[in-house]
Amino acid sequence: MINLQELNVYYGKSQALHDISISVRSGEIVALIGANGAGKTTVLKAISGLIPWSDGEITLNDQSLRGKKAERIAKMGIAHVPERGGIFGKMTVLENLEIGTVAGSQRKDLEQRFDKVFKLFPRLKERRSQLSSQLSGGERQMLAIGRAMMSDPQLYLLDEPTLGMSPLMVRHLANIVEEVRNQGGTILLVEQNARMALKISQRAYVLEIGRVTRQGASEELLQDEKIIKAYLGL
Amino acid sequence: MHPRFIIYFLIGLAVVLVPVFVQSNYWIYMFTMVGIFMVLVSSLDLAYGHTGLVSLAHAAFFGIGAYSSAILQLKLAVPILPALLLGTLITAIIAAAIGWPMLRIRGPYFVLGTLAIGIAIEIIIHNWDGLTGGVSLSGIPMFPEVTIFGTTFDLSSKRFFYYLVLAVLVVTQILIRRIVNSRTGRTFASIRENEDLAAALGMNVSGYKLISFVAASTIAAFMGGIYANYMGAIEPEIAGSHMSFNLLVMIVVGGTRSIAGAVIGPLLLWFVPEFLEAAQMYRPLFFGAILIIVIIFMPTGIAGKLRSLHPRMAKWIP
Repeated sequence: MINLQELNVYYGKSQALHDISISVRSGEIVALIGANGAGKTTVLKAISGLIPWSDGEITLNDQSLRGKKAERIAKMGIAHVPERGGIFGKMTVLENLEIGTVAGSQRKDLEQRFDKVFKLFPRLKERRSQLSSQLSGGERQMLAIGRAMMSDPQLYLLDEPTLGMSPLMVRHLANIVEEVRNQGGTILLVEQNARMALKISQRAYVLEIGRVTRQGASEELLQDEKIIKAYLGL
Repeated sequence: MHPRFIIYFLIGLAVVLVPVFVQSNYWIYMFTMVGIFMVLVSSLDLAYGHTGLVSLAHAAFFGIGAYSSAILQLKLAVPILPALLLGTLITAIIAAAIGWPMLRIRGPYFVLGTLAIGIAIEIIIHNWDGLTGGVSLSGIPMFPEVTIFGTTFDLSSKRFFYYLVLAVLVVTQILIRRIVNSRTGRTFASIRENEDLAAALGMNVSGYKLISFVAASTIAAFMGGIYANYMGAIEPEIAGSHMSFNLLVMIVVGGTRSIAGAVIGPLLLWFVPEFLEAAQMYRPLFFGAILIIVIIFMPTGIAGKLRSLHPRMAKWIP
């Protein structure tokens, strides 16, 4: 599915990512965990074309993403759900969802796509005509994931979906991410909530100051003492 | 019928009947001019209010439209209507050629770029006097008289132009509402709210920005063509950055994304100072004072402020 090979990203003269190699296979949830400023969001932005990169390579199904604009990458089937959702507050829930179809340009089966999203997020159906700025934090995140679902992407890039959420909402969103995967989605999940991320993912990478320092099966990383000490707060 | 629509109908009726009850050509001229400003502000609102493109070159396209149409009539003897349409088309092409590279830069750089274009176009018009007449291009033909079923209509009359500008204003507003409420309009709104996110969702950000910029410029150009025939003589200042700045102030003061805003801005900042002759010399002061008051106390403009007073009020202010 997606492969990052020895990727280097610079912000001006400062290097944000150092030789990052990450892969996500079809049908997987892969977690990318790390502290604030480790470069997790930068990885997602590089994949979705929001920041330029020159060193290294990113391929989606063996097709290089080098030099491709964000809109082209979205149309290739990568849906980026940014931190805090990034919803359009002055549009209704329904309009936000409709905007999500742009990448896929599907119009014929719009109602079916709405139904698919509303089945997973009944609360959004109740609030379909409401301005999305009036939604709670959790609902906004649901809307952002729902909007990504509208384009039926090959790969979801989820950037800290549980940031600032209550424990109850974290559990709910974790279930939703698993359900998206069960419906055939492939997910690269960036999280500070390492416990949740490792529980629902199959594999994980640990990022520290722009470098991958650990990787492996999530189950194993959950038992790793260093990970427990650094990220699980035990 | 809802009382709101009865009020709208009465306002509309009053506007239509103005030339019947107002005999003075001066007043008809004043209302026509404010109508022209309303069209320009409405079209600028498409780029600025709806898409987030702060353009200080809007008047430049009004000017190019006016000059293109006038030059086609004067130099090539093209009849008025084809000249108007051709002038608008030429401006649309120029707007696309300028917009294509310009819209790749963002924020304050885009604003400064459009400012430079506005200044450059005014200078070009001023100095290319073999084509543009330099300080003034005069002798632009008036609309002719036409006879339909034995009745003669004087299309060069102030009253005809009043109705013509009113019709352009109504069509412009309908057109903008249709665009804004379409999928294209929602894409404009997405770009305005978060350009990076819009791109990440697969929207062709540069393409849609160009559509908005060219559409707004084309409306301004069409109005410019009519203005040239209305006035009979045009000057480079109509295309200048000062005029563009005034249009921007009008939309900021009136309120963006609102029909009321596009009406209030020109009424307050063009009509009132013109009406109060004594205030004319203090116009820059008046502009500045109103702008500061609005920015501090009404950041969404007067229409936005009125809408925010009460949920019911929001429905009354279109």
